[in-house]
Amino acid sequence: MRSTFGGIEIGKRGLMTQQRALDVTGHNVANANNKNYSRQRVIQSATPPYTMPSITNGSEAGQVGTGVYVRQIMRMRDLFIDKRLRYENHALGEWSIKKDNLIELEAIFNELGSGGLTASLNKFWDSFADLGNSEGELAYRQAVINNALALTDQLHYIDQTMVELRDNLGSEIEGKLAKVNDLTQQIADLNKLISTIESDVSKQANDLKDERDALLDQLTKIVDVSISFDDRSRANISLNGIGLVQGDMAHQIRIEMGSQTRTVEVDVNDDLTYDPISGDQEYTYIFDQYSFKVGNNSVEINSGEIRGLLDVRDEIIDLKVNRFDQIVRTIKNEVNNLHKSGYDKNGNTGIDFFIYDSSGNYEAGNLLVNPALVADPNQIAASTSSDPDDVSNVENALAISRLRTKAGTISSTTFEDFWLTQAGKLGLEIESAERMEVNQEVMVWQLSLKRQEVSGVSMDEEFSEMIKFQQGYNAAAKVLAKMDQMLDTLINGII
Amino acid sequence: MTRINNNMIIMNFLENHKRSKNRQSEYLAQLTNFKKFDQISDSSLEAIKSLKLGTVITFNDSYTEKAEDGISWLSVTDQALSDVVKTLRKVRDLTVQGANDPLSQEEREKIAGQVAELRKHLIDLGNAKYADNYLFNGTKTKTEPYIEVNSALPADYINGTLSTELLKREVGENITVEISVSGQTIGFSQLFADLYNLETELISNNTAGIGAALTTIDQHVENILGVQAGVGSNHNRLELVIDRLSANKISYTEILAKTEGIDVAETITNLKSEEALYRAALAVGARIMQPTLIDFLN
Repeated sequence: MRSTFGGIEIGKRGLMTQQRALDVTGHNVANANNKNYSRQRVIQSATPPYTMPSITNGSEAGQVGTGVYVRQIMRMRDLFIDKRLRYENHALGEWSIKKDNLIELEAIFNELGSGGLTASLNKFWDSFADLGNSEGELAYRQAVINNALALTDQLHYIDQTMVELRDNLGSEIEGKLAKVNDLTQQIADLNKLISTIESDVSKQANDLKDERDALLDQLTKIVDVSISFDDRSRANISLNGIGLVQGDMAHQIRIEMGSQTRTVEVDVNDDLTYDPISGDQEYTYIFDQYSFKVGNNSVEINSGEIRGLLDVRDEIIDLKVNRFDQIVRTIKNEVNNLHKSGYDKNGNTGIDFFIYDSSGNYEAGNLLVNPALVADPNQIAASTSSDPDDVSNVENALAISRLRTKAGTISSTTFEDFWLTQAGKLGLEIESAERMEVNQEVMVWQLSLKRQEVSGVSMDEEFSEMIKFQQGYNAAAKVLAKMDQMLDTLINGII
Repeated sequence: MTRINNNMIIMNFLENHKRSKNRQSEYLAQLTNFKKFDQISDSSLEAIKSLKLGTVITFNDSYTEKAEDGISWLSVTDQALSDVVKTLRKVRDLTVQGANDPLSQEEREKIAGQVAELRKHLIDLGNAKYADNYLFNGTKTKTEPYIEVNSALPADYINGTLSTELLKREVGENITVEISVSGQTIGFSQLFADLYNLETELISNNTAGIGAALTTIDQHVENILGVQAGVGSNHNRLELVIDRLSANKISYTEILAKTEGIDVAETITNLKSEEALYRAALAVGARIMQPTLIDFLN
């Protein structure tokens, strides 16, 4: 025997389920332009049926259905695409930040513009060539000094901006790290919420998970963390095997400032050989260095934006110590060596043309034109003759100007060649960083597109669903109305 | 079948839009400065090549300048030497006249006076200047080489010591050309002393001595003409250098233009076709993004 009012209950369940499905559709449409949102679907299930006892048999034909209910509201998400996208994110972050900052470094050198080192250096040699092709007039001597001062200004500027850029990158690393710590804290908090909600198996913390996924995407661009999900839907994050987020707990990454040194040999007395006995010295650079710790464990960051920044900082050290300061030291050595072998306008032996300031640093930023020469350009040792009447002997100036084409002054090549090779190397490095960035961008873009394919809201789809659920609702209401009519006949019609 | 939704269409559209805009801005940058690159990293190898070519062209220009300066020096020297020869020819005429037997003592003294005047003029020529530099004192350009005395000793005419080091101009890598001649090569001091001797012979009426002086003068003229020929050949050499440098400049500039310059017609065509593509993408985007199912539901 069927129950009298069972049909009304079935109708009610139908109405409620279609209504809930319409709610979810509404939620989808509302979030259509939320880029972190994954579309949701209502999974409908039939409520448990039962078997009717019968008068004649053990049971009637059946089982009898009891209607419908919402079993689950599901989030449409492909976790495999997420995993790949996050992996590609590491490299995208690394190369794109590397490219941006290398371009900044290139702008400091500005070789193609008129403010490059090669341009200043050429002007400097030219002024010596002009003096060496003149009758030794004061105007040409003054031009040499002016161009030498312009050259040292340029050197100071490049040195200073290079060091400044490195410091700025340091602050940027600190900023990125603070962001990482902030993200891991937020993720741990969300972990707690999600696991609490999902401890009830019928509940899905869909929107919170979307939020957490967005944070994970951001995090993977900055550092190369690996992510795993446990059976309580918590995201556990580790960096190089050291846990950053474990369940509800986040561990902060700390910066430990250390230092690194680079030692070079400086030919102090400009005799073009390194000989400590004659007064030459080793010079040691000290640069700050970042290392990272979680608790008491050291961690290394091998990819992502922070790695990119660390790489550019190392690149700047290498560029400064082994290229820039090196070429400047060699120019000083070669020019001084020749200058001291000549005689000035008054027949006195030449003095140092370039000197380092009193700071004791043998770096490009400390190179000066000898103030005695600036005060009196006649002290430029242009001559190879000690006779003060020999005013038009400018052989030595000519010899100094020929340093620019002298092969083997630095790394077996000319100054210009050496420096342009460095500039070319930097250019090629930027080109390859750019290519890597584009590759990664395409990859990440493709994966995001794939993610959208699964998770994105399609308006057309939602509208068709809407019509479907609306019609379902209408039909359920009709069933209810029929039940009502039936009961009306039964209750009011019989009496 | 791929599931397509609005977000994907928009993502696709934006990506294409970005790429097209990037290409357009690249063409625009090329068209505004007519160069393929404005940072080395735009095209590293070509940029470095063009920088090196730039240096070669600057070198070329500076060598041309130096060679032109050298030509001025040599022209002035040549002119001074021509004056010397012209003056010596006059002296020779006077000597021929003085060697004539019938001349009286008085007439010979008069000729001697004229020779003395010409000798002073020659000393002035020996102290000739260009741009406030003495031509014939080597690198001691601010020291007067000769002094005006009356002496039969060549050394007496020299102010201190003559510099025999010549002025030079660098007109190529390690190629120098001498642009002055030394007073010593010309033999000015000997010439002055010889002329003084001639004056003495004229005054002392020694026709044999006067005749001998004629030979000496001829030898001097011959020597100076030889020096002048040397000046002329250096002059020619510098002119050849200039010709070569300007030919080089044309070819280097051409290579530079090929290395860093753009083909304007090609770039404009590329820009135009990119623009057409861009317009098409915009039109398609506008059509495809707008309609949804809702437009057709009542």
